[in-house]
Amino acid sequence: MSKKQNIFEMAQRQLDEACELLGLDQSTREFLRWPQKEIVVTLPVRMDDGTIKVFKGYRVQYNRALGPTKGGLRWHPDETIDTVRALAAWMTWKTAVVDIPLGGGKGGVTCNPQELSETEKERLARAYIGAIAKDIGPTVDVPAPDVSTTPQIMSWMMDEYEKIKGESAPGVITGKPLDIGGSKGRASATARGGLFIAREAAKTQGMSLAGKTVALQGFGNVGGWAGILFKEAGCKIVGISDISGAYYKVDGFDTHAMFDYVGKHGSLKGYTEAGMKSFDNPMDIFEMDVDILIPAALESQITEENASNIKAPMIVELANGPTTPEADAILFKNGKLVIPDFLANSGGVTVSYFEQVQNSYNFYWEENEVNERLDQKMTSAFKAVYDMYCKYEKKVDMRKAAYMVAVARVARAAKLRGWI
Amino acid sequence: MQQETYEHLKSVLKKNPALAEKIIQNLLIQLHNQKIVSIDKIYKQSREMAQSSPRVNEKKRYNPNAGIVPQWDKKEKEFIRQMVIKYASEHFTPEEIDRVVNYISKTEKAFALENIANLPGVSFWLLAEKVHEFCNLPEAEPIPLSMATGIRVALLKNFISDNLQFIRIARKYIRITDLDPIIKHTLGSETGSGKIGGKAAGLILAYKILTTEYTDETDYEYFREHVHVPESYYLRTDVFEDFLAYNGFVEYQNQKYKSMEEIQDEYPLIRELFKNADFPPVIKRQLRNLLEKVGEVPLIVRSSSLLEDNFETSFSGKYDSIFLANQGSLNKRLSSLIAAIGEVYSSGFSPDTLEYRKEHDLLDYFESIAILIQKVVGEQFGDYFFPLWAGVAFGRNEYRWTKQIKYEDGLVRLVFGMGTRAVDRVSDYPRMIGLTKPMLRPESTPKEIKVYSQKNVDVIDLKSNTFVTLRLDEILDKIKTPELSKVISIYKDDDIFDPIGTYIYNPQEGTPVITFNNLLKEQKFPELMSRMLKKLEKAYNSPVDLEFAYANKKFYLLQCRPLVSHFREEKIKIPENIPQGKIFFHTERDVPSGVLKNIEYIIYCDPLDYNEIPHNDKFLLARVIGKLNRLLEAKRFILLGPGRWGSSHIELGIPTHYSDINKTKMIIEIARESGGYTPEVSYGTHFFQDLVEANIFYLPIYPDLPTTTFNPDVFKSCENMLGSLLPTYKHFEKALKVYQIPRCFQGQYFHVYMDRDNQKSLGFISPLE
Repeated sequence: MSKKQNIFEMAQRQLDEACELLGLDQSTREFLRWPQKEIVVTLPVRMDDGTIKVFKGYRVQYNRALGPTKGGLRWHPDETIDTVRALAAWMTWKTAVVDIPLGGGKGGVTCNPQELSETEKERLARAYIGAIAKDIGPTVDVPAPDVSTTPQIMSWMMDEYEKIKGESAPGVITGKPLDIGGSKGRASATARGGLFIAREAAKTQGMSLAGKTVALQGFGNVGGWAGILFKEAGCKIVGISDISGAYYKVDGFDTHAMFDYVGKHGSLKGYTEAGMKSFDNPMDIFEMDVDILIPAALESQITEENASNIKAPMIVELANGPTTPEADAILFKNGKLVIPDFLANSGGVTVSYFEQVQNSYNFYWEENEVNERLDQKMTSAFKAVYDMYCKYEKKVDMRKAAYMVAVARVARAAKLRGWI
Repeated sequence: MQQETYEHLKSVLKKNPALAEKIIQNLLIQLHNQKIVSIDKIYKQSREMAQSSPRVNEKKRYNPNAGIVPQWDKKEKEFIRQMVIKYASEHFTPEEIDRVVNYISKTEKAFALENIANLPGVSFWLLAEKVHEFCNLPEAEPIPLSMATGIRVALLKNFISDNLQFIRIARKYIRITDLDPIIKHTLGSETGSGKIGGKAAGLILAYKILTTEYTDETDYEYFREHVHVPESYYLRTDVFEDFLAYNGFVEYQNQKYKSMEEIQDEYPLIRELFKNADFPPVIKRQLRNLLEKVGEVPLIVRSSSLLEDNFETSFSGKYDSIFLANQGSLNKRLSSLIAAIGEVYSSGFSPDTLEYRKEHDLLDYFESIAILIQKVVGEQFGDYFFPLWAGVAFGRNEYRWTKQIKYEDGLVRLVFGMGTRAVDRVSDYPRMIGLTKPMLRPESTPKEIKVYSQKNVDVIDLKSNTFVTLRLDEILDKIKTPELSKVISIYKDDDIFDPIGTYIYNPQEGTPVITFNNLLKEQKFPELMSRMLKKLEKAYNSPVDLEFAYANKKFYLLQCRPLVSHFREEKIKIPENIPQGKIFFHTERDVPSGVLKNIEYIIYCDPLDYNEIPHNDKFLLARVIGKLNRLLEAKRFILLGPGRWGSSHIELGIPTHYSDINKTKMIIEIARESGGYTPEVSYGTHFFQDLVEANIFYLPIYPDLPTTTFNPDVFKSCENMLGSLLPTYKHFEKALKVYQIPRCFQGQYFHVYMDRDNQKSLGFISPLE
């Protein structure tokens, strides 16, 4: 059995737990355990040297009970239908927990983008849309950028779709460049969503963000924006780590300067600021004595080895899957409030949804309008999860609570539709 | 009879009495060949006319020793002459007569030229004058190819280089008339004789190969349109000797026989002396004239040694090249030029050069250095001067991250600004263009592209008269040309966009990133590079490497020489079933070809340990490696270390010189993908060229790639020999490990197999092979 199948089985296990807690009936459980529709396509693409190369492409529409399915497109050499299936399931719970009228989906093409020229990428993008055009659309299924796919690739895909349909249809895809129907505020959306969630979480503890100390693991796009936005909200970003090491500064870093530095040098290596201390081991970030810890790098960073060393009372998971199940149990036992990834980082998909809304109105919002609406969505999403958490007397952790909110919403919609 | 032609012919014969007989002979042949009148007929008629007139020399007629054909007496000859004049006047125009006369005088001059060129020790200017005379003869039919070739060879040996491989190719492409403009740009005393050296020769030859109409090749017009060479001047090799004699430096010619330590110690002094030395007045005057002629434009002073840019040895980067902004008063410009030439001369005595010569058995060769002075290819933007793009191209591509890129299609390292950033090992990222698929690059996300792109630009600052390196954003707002959009892409919102229309710098609109995307999309540039590399390879019968620059809408070739490479083409089979505990590494990226067996010593510097060493000690560490290099000279050892070997930037790797590592059998660069060290590896740099020529294998290891196995723990139980080999440097033991493999593996050795075709390498321990 391959590792990839284990990923999908893991997704199913998490669902089973939530269904158990919610006390859902057997047929509902069985229905939610599987994708509603899977598409596998074979794509012949002409290479620059005139030869034809054949690629495999996938699109999984996991569940459309809440609305058109939505999810990214991954171009990766190890892409299989199983990975796509698991990621489509998680997208379903993510759109449901943040309460936007969309289902979950995911797609991918097995290819090595390192071996494709720009023109070959364009032909591959168009071939993929040509093959699945009948099964996607602004009211059916809406792809977005993911691993190795860029706004440029989204533009080609949208164009190909419009050619086939013979009409303007920018809402068929999100993550487009601003010039052709993208939404303002997208670059910072994931981090900003995390900020709103953290603010609401702090309120439940009777606190405000002002003056709180923050440690950030990872300083890429999401981590970098989090550094800037949490600082703007009055936090002190005292700890930052990336691949080059961990850095500490008691009165808080100049995160704007760091963001520029990383943009030029690729990492924080060589960055200096008066009064900062450097640690060679990036993992030292987890032991810093801070109010909020934000993992914003890779998966499986908080493990049973380091979980008990974490001092921060609140952990906001901006990365996907930063905490292993074993570490989760330790954190829960130690009374830490963990805001789970698919709630904390759902700001991105929410703004994607806004992009689609703006596309269908053919009327575009200013950035503050985007941010205000994002605030409303994230605030109510957090409240729903926190209410569930309280309803179960805090005997389940926030992750399970979030799953329960999401699964219950999807199950209810499926029921109303008379499917189950 | 046509009176006009008759009169003309008569006067021509009168004017050239020495050539008269040859002219008549040639006209006779022309009459025969054009079927106007046969030779037989003319002879017959002349004989009849002679017989019918009174005989004067009866005796001679019956001489039994005469041949079958009767000897012509003066009278008969005179009749032939008259007959030829008659027929020629009837059938030829005065212009046709001139053509014959011109051809005759051309062959005469050619003979004279060949004779002089073959004289030993003939002075440059005497020969130059003869060439000039020959080139200024009135237009005529070409002389026979065999004769032309003989003269070409004699002249090439005198003026350019006596390298036989060079001459074998050059005699096909460089015509006698091509030499005249080169001679006019050559500086040196009137009585001396010397050559203009390898680098100058390489460029002239390459340009001629590309643009000469030659046999079956038809693309010369394409190259004439697309390729240019910068205005160049040459200081002959004998000027170097005059310089040594004039300044009393002759003793330094024996510097090469001193010990490496002495050479190293004395070199700084030689450099200073040479920089401050002077030239004999005659040369100085010529240099002054040169500067007056070219005006205040930037110049580059390059060595063009006789040893340099040869077929087996390239001396890449061993001899200095110096840029001069060349601004200000004539006197000031002259003294800068003289200092620069002196400095380039001194590089012939540098430890690196002498070490290299020693290794290639070239020490006893009497080395004279010619100098090539070129106008720098560039455009002025504000106070800065530079080409819009420049770089190096190689006929073979060792830098392949995917099987799609073919070894034989070649590689270009392209930079914005002066080409120094493409040639030298600096901490920056030229655009690497595999000519199989020019748009392809190893980075797959826009963010990676931004990080792994050129950050700084080398330019000449005309105001401060210096060569400077600037950040991209310091210079972009000064450049107002539509062509900038071929260089720059814009990073914005996590994506890279290529500009549409003219790019005007505005940081608000996104971060400019040097990609050359629009240049490559046009396809003209990669096409030119491919065609040029292929054509030169065919003529040289060897792949070549080139330097080039682009400015003022023109592409300039700056240098060409044969590419020296391992050229191991045989199939290599990676051994299977090696036990896990015996495998040091297994890689699947950037793997060259080759097998290296029975390695006794491994010198290993771990990247993380290297990081820990204090700043200053990093330089010392490089010297310790240099000492090990000499100590283990006779042993088979390999070197493994972080990042780029030979970089002068210590954060990129151990700052070794070539002479610190030249005895190793293999260099391995450990390139951490996203840590402190960069994935930019050495392929294509001068340092890499050195390794290839010295038959030192090279392999990068990317430990962070999932396909890589890198297991230094194999040597966990090995004793570190550093302390016993160099007790003084025992304190470097943590960072620098020296393992004697047979000692810790019961007499077994270390072996490396590298399979380029399948992109797999394996380093493992097994019994002696």
